[in-house]
Amino acid sequence: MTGRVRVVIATTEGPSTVLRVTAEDPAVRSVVCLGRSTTTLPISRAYDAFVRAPTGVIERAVGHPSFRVDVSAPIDDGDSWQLGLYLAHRLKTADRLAEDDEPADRVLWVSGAVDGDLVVRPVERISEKWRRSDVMLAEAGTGLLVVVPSGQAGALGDLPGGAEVVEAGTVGAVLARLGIERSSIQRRSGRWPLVAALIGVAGVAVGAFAWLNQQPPPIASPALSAPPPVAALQAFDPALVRLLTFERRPTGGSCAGEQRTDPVEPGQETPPGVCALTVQAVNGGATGGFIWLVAVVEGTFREYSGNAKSIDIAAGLLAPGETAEVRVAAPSWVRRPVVFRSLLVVSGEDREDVSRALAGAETLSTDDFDRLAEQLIELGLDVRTVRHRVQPRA
Amino acid sequence: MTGRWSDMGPGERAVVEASFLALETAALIGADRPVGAKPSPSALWAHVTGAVPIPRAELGAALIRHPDLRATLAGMLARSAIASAPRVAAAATGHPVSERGGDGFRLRLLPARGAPDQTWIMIALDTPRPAPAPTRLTVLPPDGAPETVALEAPVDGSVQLLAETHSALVRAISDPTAVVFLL
Repeated sequence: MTGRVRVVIATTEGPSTVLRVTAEDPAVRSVVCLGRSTTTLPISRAYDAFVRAPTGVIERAVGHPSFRVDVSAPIDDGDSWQLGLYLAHRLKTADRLAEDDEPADRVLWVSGAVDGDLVVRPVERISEKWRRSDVMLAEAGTGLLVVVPSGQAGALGDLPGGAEVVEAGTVGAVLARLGIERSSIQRRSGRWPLVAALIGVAGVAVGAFAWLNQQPPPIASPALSAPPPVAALQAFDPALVRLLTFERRPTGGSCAGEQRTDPVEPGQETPPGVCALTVQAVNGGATGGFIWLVAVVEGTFREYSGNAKSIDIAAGLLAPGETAEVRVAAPSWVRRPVVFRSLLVVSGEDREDVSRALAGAETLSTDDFDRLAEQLIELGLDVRTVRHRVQPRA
Repeated sequence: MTGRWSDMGPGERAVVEASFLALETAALIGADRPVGAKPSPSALWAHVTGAVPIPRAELGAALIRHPDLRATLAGMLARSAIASAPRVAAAATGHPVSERGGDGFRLRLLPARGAPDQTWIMIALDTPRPAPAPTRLTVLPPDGAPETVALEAPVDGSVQLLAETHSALVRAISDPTAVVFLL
């Protein structure tokens, strides 16, 4: 399916059309406004939670933490608006949301809740919402696409001629029906040239952490979006990128002095006295590919680590034979074992959605990190993640 | 010039508002209740605490008729406020400001990207002060009626509200000579 899509959220008070989706200043909490006025709807607080990462799903999908959505009629409570607003965001990102008075090729009548794993959850009173939308449904004509959670199509009344129904178990199923590929998230210019510069100066940069750590800029308007400056590579085999783990130990008595690097098998029990963990991604293939390499200390140590580096990220193009490396110091004041987590994402092409997803990695909990890894796998990426436990102090 | 409200600039709107205020004051002449009576301190206090608010036009008219009332009102607001932001140090320049710093909070005006004619009023509360959370924002300009708006409960120490850019509230906040109170 192609073309512009108008999103109509079904409520028990009648249909509410999404008029506009606007990226706001990140300092602003996301809001739902009534008809471009200053009236914010009561669901705004829940909507903000639905947007902002790590709990929210919108920022994870589109890379921006704050939005204003204008709708044509009040949406008072509940969570059946979630699927409609999620789809509106994805359509907006794909430059396919029919906003304001723009003509629409299709009209989406939608009701459904969405959980953190992008599973569509059932909602109540579908038949009442359907009845309250009868005028709008009659006017929608042949371009109507009705989306409800799996098993709830039976609550719908008679369908207008030409209308189609999608019973959705996951958000991905609806996106596929709308013709929005998971990889079609709009690219933004401005980052990869910087990465390329970092690569040029120092190989795949350990310093890319600072770059990745910055706040994502507002989503660019479609007209300003540039094609990716680095072309996708051909015949790149992600499996030829190896992930290696090393422990760094003092050659003398203290981590303040010289250190040696010992290769380890992740999960292998090793003696106490680990100063840091080093993780490398080595491209053993004949062509270059893109990697995102993260190493992080799990647990709450990060909150108390001050200036100590408890996470390190490298990202960019990894040429044949090249090695990317990240290094994280063990929290020296901890006397019990700590767990390091490393995550490697490999792709044949520049994936800004991955960069966005990892931009806030330093704030993720262990569970968030697991969920993120699962979502990256769902995107069809080559994702490898390992844990390695060490005893910092001898 | 059409004279339409939507076609007017901020200055013209202020003139019209002042005219309406004067007309309303004139209309009160001959009404049942005493006109021009100075609100009693208890009535003013009840207004400040939110117990019995005095209608905006009525209070504005009283402030015009009794200039000394403004100092009394300012004193009561200062006494009952959880936090306040004084007039801006560079107020003499007269330039509108987009940020106000007070004891216990910082207020910023941000343009709303979703609507060019709207402005976000962002209030960041210091922690642990002020406590309890403010429920109203009042701005007292050096002349004219005070502007008051209800505040939602803070989220993560911040309160935000959306207002028309040319509203009296936003104009008052950006007036460096106005005093901002969180009540």
